[in-house]
Amino acid sequence: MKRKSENILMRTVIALMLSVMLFSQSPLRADSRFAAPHLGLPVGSMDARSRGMGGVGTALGGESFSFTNPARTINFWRSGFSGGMSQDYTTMEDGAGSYDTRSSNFLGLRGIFPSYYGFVLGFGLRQWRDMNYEYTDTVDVDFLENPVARHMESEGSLYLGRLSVARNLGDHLALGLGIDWMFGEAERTRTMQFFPSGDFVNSRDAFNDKYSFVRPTLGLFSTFGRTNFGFSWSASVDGDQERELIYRENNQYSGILVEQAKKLEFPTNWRLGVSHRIGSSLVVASDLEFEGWGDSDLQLENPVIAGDQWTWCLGAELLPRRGEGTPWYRAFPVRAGYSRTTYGYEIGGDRVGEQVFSLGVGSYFGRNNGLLNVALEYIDREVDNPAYPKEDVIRVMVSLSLFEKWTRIPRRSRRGD
Amino acid sequence: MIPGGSLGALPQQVTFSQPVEALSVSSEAVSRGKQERVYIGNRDKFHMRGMVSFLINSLPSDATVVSATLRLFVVSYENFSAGVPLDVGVYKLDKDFVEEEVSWERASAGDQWLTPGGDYSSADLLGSFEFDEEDFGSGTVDTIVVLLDTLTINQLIRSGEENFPLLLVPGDQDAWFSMVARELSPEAAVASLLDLTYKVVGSTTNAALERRTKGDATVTEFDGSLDPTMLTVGDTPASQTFLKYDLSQLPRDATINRALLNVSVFDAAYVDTFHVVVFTSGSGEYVDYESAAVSVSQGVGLDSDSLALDITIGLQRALALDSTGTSYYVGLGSNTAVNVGGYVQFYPPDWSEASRRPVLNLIYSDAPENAKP
Repeated sequence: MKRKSENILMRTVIALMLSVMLFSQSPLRADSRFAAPHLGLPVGSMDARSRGMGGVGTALGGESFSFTNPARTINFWRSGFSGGMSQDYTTMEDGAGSYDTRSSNFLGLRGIFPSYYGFVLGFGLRQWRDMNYEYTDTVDVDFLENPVARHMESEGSLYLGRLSVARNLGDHLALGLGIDWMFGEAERTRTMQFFPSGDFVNSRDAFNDKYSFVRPTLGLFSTFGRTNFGFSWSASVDGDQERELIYRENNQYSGILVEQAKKLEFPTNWRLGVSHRIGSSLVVASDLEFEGWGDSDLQLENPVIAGDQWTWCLGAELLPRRGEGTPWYRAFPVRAGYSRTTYGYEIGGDRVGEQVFSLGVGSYFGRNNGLLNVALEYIDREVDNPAYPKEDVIRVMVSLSLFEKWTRIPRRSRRGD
Repeated sequence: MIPGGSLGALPQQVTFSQPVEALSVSSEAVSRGKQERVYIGNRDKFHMRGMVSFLINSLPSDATVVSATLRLFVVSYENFSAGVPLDVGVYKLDKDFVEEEVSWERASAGDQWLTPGGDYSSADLLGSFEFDEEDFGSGTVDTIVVLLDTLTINQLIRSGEENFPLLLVPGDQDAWFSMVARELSPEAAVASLLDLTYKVVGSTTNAALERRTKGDATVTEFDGSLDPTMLTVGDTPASQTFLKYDLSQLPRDATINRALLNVSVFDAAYVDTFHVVVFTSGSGEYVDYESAAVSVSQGVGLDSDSLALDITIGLQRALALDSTGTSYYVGLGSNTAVNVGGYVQFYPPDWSEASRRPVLNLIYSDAPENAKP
């Protein structure tokens, strides 16, 4: 009876969150203007458990579908799929006013399969960088009777696909190897609209960039007592950037394409994490991530200069209680976390970044064959300079995981487990 | 926060007071067979006749036509001789015409009329009517019904003729009306119709045949004269004007947002409306507007001594073909799809009074640096 009421409660929470996500009246628009000066904004883990804990995941035990460390999949004793999405409600303030926007993101999809001889295979696809932004203003031009409306928008994301394998190397150490294939594009359009509209041909210049690379990722996961350590490292690679110019659309130049290709260095990334279980009901974890954009040859525009991207996260998970007499609110894991990221660029010497406060809950369902995690984040993005915009974001994240009941159980030996 | 290389620069304005080259070229009269209206009447120095042609080859060779009725659907009219109706005679043309090629001078390409305006004999008057605007309601389509003499039709049937071409000749009154051409609505039975009632020898039954016109056209004559020192855009007389500008000072990837050619009008006249189209040409020779036009047509009025012609798309086209713009002309021509007769003459760039010379006012915006090759 109690279990039934818990399920009803969880379903009610899900229904409410989906209702808020789907039926919000805010316009579905840009993600962040902070994506404009650089190669978009970094997107953290797709897994709502990890996000509820501030983004930690490199050394987290249990069933977490986070991409942060390919060796960490060794924790899976059964096969599972997981997918995540999020909804952002952004309030942006610049000198001209305040704007409310809403945007949806597909964060990722992942499958993990324990297989023969202690190997754990994994594949997945996740959003790596978010390239969406939008900007509109009106400017007065002295020889025109009406102001000109300028609009700049970028649509697209970079995605990271990963094939990985992990195996225990002993009682305390697991090794994971991953091949990452990054791909994605940003379709950017600058328009200038003149008024009255019938008297002018508007300017519409489009320039699209496609990005791709393939690189290896190495991961280590180690357990000593109640403490886990994790480390992952992704190599720096020369990727491809293909530019497609469709300039002067909507007039006699429509359809003219100019295609250019060049190499772009994507920097190394490493991530270090630790987690520790305190008693029977609390897990604390922390991650530190580095991405060396300061050495990249990504072209930035004055006054923006390259900088290294740093993220540190701190999170805790209050594990659920079992047994008779447990109040309903203790039947679920409850999570909280904080993270701070400095983006891979500075503006006029001022660092740009975000800090995230997060809360999360989760629950198994369907005889423990399904897992639902929900996270709520408050994100604050700003520059150390009042001349630039400030963004506050409320992000709702949901990830749904389905385990072996719905997947084919591999014939495997449990030798060495 | 948005990179300037993506957002781009603001629009700029530049004025060209002199073209590299300016010229007008004329042509023989153009055909109006594809127009959606047929005009009949007179407007000052413009004289318009209507031609309609019907197929009669489905009638039995021994058929005798007992009645022939021509139905014309009127859509607009103008009478500058108030109270004086327009007389119209319906004649049999001596030969059929090719709808897409017929003009005041010719029945088809390479086949001139012996008498400009269509070959007919005054003895072949099949019917006549008076067009009085008081008989017609405003904004509606009304029908003119003309009973035709059946003798000529029966002679044609006996001789095995397949076509029955008619010429509608107006009197001298300064008035005109337009009627629906078959191109306006190819599927609807509102183009000119010929209703025939006939009987066959040995039969007591009369049969009716309704024929929608197989071809119709306006032929127009202009009996005035033009000043050859002016630049001319005309339909009848047919003339086009070409201008070439050095656009090399524009950024290579700029979009021309607006280009207005401001001209001083020397003289203008037209029948119903006069629409100008813009096109691009590499040769400066008279071109068929349908294959060359790059913009929607612009209506020109008679109530102003200056015009601002929008040549934006023509200049864009010239720049797309050659980044300096100096290899291609921007052409101005009559929209022969709607103009039945008319012209505009404006002062040339070498005119003594600078204030009357054409001036090109151009607004452009350069592409953002990131959108440049």
